[in-house]
Amino acid sequence: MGQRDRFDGQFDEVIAAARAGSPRAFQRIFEALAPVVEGYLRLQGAAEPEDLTSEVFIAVVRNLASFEGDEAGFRSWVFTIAHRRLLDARRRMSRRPPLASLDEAPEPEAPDNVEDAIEQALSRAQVRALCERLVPDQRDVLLMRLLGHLTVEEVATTLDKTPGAVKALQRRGFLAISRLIEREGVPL
Amino acid sequence: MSGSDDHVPEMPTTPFLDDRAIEAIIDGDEVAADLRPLVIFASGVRAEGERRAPRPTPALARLIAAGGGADSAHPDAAAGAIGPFTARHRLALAKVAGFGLVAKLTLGAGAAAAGVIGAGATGMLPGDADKVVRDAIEVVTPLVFPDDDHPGSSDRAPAGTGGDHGGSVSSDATGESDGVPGVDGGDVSDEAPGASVRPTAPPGRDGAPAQDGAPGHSGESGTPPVSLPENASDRPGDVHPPAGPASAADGAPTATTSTAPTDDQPEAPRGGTAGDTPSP
Repeated sequence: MGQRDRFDGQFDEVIAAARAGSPRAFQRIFEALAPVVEGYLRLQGAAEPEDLTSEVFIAVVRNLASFEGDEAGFRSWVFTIAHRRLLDARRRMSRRPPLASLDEAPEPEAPDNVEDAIEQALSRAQVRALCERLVPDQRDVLLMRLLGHLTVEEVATTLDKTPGAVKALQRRGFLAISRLIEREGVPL
Repeated sequence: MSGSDDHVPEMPTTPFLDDRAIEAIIDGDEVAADLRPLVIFASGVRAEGERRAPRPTPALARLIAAGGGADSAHPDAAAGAIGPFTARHRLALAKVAGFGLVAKLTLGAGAAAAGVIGAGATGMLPGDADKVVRDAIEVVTPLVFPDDDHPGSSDRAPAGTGGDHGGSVSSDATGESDGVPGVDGGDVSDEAPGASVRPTAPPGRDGAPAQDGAPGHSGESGTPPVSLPENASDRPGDVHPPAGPASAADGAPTATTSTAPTDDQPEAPRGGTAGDTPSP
C-alpha cells in the first residue's frame, strides 16, 4: 500500500543517469516524488505548495552529486529539504504581508464526475482541516510517515529527534485525530 | 465498565494504539473497527500525494533541461521559484484568459498605458518576466510573438505543409506569366475610397515612416497602438516583432534570493539517511 518504490525498481539507474546530466532522469525523479512533496507541503499549510515543491527540487537537482544511498535514503533526503524549505517559507511569510487571495481559486483539474469531485473535495478539505488542528510536531511526524513513507528512524533523523520521541508523537497525533473525528463528528 | 470516577470527558473512547496498530494504519492494512476512522484519515493523507506532479517553475524546468548544473548560474534559477511570477501570478494570467473580449481590451489599454507591453515586446524585461509579459500580451492583444525556444515556429506551419503564406509570389503578380505585373497588395486602386487623401507611399512601406495611431496599425480591433519595429506588417494578426536581445539575465552571475540560513549542500545522507538537522 505504501508505494515505497516510486522508481519501478530502477532507482539506481535513474540516479546514475541524473548524475550524468540526463534531463529525462531528472524529470523522472521529479515526477516520482513531486506529488508526495507537494502533498506534504500542502497539508502543512504552505501558501504556495506548487512553487515550493519546485524550490525543493531545484535544491535536489543541484545537490544530487552529494547524495549517496538507496531509495529510502533519497526519499528521506528529499523530505529533509522539503521540511527546511517549508520552515524557510513560513519565516518569509511571517515577514511579508499576505497577497490578495487569488490562490483560493479551485483546483484546475477538471473532474470527470461532478458528484465524485465534490465528495473528493470535501474529504480533502476535511483531511486538511484535521491536519491543521494537529500540534506541529505531531503533524510533521504523521505526514512524513504517511506521505513520505519514512520509517520511524528516518523521521527521527530528518527532524532531529529520537525514535522514541517520534513514536510518541505519532501515537499522540493519531489519538488527537481520533478524538477530533469522534468529538466533533468530522465525517470522513 | 467505567465508573463515574474514571470518566475522562475529553477522551470518551480512546482506541487502543500500540506500535503494531500504528504501523497497520500507516500501511493501510486491516485494523480493528474502532481504528477505521484513522485508516480513512491516513488514506486521505496519502491521496494528497497521489495526484499529478505539479508543474515545475520555469527555473526548475530550465535546470532540468540543462541536465542539472549547466544553468544553475542563471539568476532566475534561484529567483524563479520564489520570484515575482509565482503560481498566483500564473493563475492571474489564466484568469485574464477567461475574461471577455471587452475586459481583455480594457486590460490591454491599461497595460499599454503602463508601458509594460512595450518593454515586454522588445525584450527589455529579464528572462521569465519577459516571457510572462509576452504571454500576457498574447492573451490580451492580437499580437503573437515568436517562440524563443523554437525560433521560427510560432504559429507558422512547418515548411512543406502548405502553410507558407506569403513565402512565394505568383507569376501573375510578378508579371512573368503575361508581362504585366499584377496587384501584389502593395498598391491600392485610385478608384478606392479615400484615394484623394492617401499618401503617395503607404505608411510603413518603402522606408516611409509609419504614423502612430494611423488606421491599420493594430488599431482595427480596438487594441491600443503598440510600438513595433519599422518593418512590421500592418496587419495586427501578422505582427511578429523580433524577440529582442537575449534575456539580460542570461549568463549573469547568480543572484540567490533565498535569505534562509539553511543550505542543502551537506544534506547528503550517510548510509541512506538524511543527515542534517532542520534549520532553527
